[in-house]
Amino acid sequence: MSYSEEKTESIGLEARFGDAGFSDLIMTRIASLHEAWDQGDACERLEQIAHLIGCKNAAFATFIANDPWHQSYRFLLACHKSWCAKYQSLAWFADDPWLDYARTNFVPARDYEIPCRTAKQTEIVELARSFGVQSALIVPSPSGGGLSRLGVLMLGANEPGYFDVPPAVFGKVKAIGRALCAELHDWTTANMRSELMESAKLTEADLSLLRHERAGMSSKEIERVSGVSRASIDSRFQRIMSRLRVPSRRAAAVLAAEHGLI
Amino acid sequence: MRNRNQFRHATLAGEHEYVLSGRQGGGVFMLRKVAAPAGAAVEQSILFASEAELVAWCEDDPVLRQNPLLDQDVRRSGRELLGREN
Repeated sequence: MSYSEEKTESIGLEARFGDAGFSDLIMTRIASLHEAWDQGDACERLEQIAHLIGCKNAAFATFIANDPWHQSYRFLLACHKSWCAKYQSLAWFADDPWLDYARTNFVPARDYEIPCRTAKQTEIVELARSFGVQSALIVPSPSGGGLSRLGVLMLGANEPGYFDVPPAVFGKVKAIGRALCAELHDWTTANMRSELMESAKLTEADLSLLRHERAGMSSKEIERVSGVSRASIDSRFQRIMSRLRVPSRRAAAVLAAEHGLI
Repeated sequence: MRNRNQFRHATLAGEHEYVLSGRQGGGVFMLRKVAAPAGAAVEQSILFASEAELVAWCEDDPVLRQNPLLDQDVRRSGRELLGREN
């Protein structure tokens, strides 16, 4: 039995996963996300996958959690356009309870399992409700290697309790959500890496210096292992900092690591 | 899907940028970038299926509301990419 894309409307989550072809179709779509050639294409693919799951709204965000020099948020938005506009006009990214959840958790959670701790957080969730998100699944995607760039996927359904399915089915939903979030995170990181390489025009020698800095080496230690003079090393670091628009060598190394350059 | 065209509009200081691209299957893709020196850098990727969606979004966008010329440019580019005459 193959899953028909036409019958995606008004089918509950349990019934979707009961269809033999559903998981295969979804995983095939997720597996091809890496082929997205730009952010628009990635957005389209996210929207299509979300609709297959029965979610009219989906958003993926990636951000650096603990770096004051690089507060950076990127969103792929496949949701109600006015919601996007209202959300950006508030610019309460630091207060978003679903982004906040991803800072300290890695287990997918339903919206009601994530408490709102402030009035702003409650307002952000109410804003989502007002644009039709009656139930949501929040899926965090942490980075490895001591990096603080996080990914978060929100799948939003118009029906209350849409994600309240038997545990066995919810396990599959979580697995699909994790796979989708991880692929989006990988794709976004690769996209940002390409952009940074292109804009900063870093050389392999620059990357080597940044690796040394990341390892905590001083100019004197780098001079010893590389044979390059200390003056030259310091001068190169100045150029790298200028190109990356950061105030310190450490910040340059962190930025390069967060973008997967080193 | 390949872009068939692209427009780039920005505020005078360049801290807000709107890049609009046509999508082969129809609709418009917008990349909205904010590069505030003292705040967070934010990039939002949004797809618009129709002019009505784009217009409603422009009306709610806080930067476009304060920059009428930029607002006009974004709407005009959106309409052009959606295949409509001004």
